[in-house]
Amino acid sequence: MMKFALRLLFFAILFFILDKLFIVVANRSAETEVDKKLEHLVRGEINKDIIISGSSRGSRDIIAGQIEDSTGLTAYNLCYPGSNVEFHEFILTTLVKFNKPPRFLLLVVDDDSEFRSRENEGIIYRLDRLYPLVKYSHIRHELVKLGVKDKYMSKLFVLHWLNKANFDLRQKRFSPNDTILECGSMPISWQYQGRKWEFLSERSEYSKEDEMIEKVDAYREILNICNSNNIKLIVIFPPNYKSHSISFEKRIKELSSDKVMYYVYNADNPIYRNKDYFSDEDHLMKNGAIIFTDEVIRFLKGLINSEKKTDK
Amino acid sequence: MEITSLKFIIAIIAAIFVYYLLNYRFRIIFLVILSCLFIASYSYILLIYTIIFSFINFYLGYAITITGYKKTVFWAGIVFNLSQLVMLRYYSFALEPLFDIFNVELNMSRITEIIIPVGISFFTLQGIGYLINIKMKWEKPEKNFFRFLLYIIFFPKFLSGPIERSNHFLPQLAVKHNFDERKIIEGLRILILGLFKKVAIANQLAPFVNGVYGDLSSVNGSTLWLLLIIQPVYLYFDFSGYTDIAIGLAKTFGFDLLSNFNRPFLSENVTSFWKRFHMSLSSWFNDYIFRQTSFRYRKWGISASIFAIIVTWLLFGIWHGAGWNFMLLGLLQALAIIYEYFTKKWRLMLFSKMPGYLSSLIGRILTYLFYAASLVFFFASDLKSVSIFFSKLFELSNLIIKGIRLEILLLVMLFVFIFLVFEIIYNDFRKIYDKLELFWLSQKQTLRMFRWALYFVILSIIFVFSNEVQQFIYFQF
Repeated sequence: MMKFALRLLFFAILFFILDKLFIVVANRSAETEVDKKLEHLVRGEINKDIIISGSSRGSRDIIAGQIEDSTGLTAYNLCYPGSNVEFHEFILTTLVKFNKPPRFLLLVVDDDSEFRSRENEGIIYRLDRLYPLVKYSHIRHELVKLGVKDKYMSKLFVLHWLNKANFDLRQKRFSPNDTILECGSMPISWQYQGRKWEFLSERSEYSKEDEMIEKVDAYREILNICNSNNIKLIVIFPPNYKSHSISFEKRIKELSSDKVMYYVYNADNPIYRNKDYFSDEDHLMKNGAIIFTDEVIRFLKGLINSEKKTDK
Repeated sequence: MEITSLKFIIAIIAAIFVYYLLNYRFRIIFLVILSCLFIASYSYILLIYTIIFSFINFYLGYAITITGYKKTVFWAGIVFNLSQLVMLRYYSFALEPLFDIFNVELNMSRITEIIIPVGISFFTLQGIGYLINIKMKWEKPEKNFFRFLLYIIFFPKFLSGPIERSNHFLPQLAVKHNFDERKIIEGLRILILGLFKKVAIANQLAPFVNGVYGDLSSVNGSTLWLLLIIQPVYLYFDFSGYTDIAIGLAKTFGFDLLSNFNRPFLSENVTSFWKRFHMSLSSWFNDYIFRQTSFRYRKWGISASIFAIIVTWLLFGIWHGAGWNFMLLGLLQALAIIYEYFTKKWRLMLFSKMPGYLSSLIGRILTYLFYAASLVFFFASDLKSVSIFFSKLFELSNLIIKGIRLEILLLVMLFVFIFLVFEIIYNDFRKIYDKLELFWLSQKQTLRMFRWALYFVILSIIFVFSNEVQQFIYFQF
């Protein structure tokens, strides 16, 4: 039995050593990514005055470079299409952990689907953005926290860090329809043709019943992080090709503290009822994004000026 | 605890050493404790339930031999086993309509929420089988409760079988298992291959199969044809993967569990397919239902066999689930077997005119396609979904592959191909297989290194692919 136990142990040690060779795959996997935002974040390279956070609405509708040019403050768009508020919380946690906390956080909310339960959501926790970066312990720690990876196995074996996707070592590219700007924004210049979409003028009342407690908690945590890091949080309600949900806005305000500021798009602007500015029901095209970003800039400038006056 | 998790496997390897270091007298208790911990990791109440279940069957088995009311005690045991199965697994199918008729308002679903009937279909058949064996005097009742308890709850087979026979398992408990390195290595090898089948093949195909069945309205005939071809492979690798893990684990502790699969896709007809697929279940139904029924009605002649086949396969279908689709699944198998019985001479005549390899190939393809088609009744949630599946089958257009990337699907199919090639070599070219096995087991240093390298590759694949958890299909039974 002793001989067998020793042989097994020898095999285990050999496996343990050879396993470490896979660190090459983990490193290469991060290199092949086209979207480097999260990696910049983990490496502490996003030290900006203004950060935009959110999902595809934030990513498509607000151009951070335009804000930089107009306000003179540095800005970066950290929005991830298809991501949910729990993911936004992770992004903010990572931001303040490795980078200088921004002065302003523009949190672009997802209309009334922000806190909706998992069964009927189109937005998810973007695990796929984490997998390529498993070489960073912060990312691994998050995967363990999410229950995706095991704490001890992940300490012992590099192979446990990896997924099938990590072995696709080809350089990733955006599709011709998509692009990422230097400032992190991802404006689009095409219109969705898959189905008919018309302006929706009547909105149903927002229901708390559909909310997922974890998502509401994530939003509250965002408020806490902003509070404790002196970040001015501005919740942005971007335009959709439908009328604004006032009941959802009320709900956001109900959950937020007094310190939070809000910016609701100018619903009187006729372009937000013009299909030519929209990619689909939920996202602006680049021409619409430029106009909406201008609106946000005006709001920001007002805020910055009033801050200056208070300082004086 | 997830049986495919590497944490579980590491814990088990440690347990193997403890087991062999223990004095023989304590080994059964040790396995009982391990099994109890395993069940408790799912539900404490389930553990208490299985202990009570085991005790009742243990007591009834003993009572059958000492009481004057053998028949009454035996039937009381059968009624007990079946009623708890019906109550916990079939209440919505069998009991709720009855309650509706009599206007009784009783929410039985609460019981299943409390007990969580994991593995119940498997251990119930073991309980019934034991009582029948005692009644028929095929074996003597077990006198040691812990041994009987281990027969019911032995953790490798608890969740999804193989369905053990008491007269196969209990005698092994009376034997002192010495540390046998070769047997343990063989067990670990079977276990690793089982893990590979489950994790690297079945788990990868699961999102595709489940995704299509979950949204049949959005797919076209081309996708359904692909699914039709893939689903037997998916089920086979999922279930035989689990079985291999169970058999391998049991072997490391010195026990031989019943085989469950014998290269089923090499069967040339449906009758032989069911002698090679889920063998522990089909042989259970053959011994305890088919033979008993056909014997009881033997005066009917050939009709007795037909009747027994239909009864057996209907029960076989119901065992798989509470729904008309499962009954039809069983009925289809029965009709195929009856058809094969009546056309045997004609088919033999037809195939005798062909070269052997061609008749084998045709037989295998037809059997596979029949099984593939009948599996629609297994995977579809109800009869409506079955009808949607078959009605859309010929609406061919662009192939849409959901839930799995094409390159992963191709890689998985390569794994399947390798496994099936080895099965064909084993089945049809036994001499070559034996030579390969001899070569594989050679003690030469270079070959040992090659073996270790291959184990390293297999384990690495298991590691990487196991990061996405999928439940066993037969877990629900």
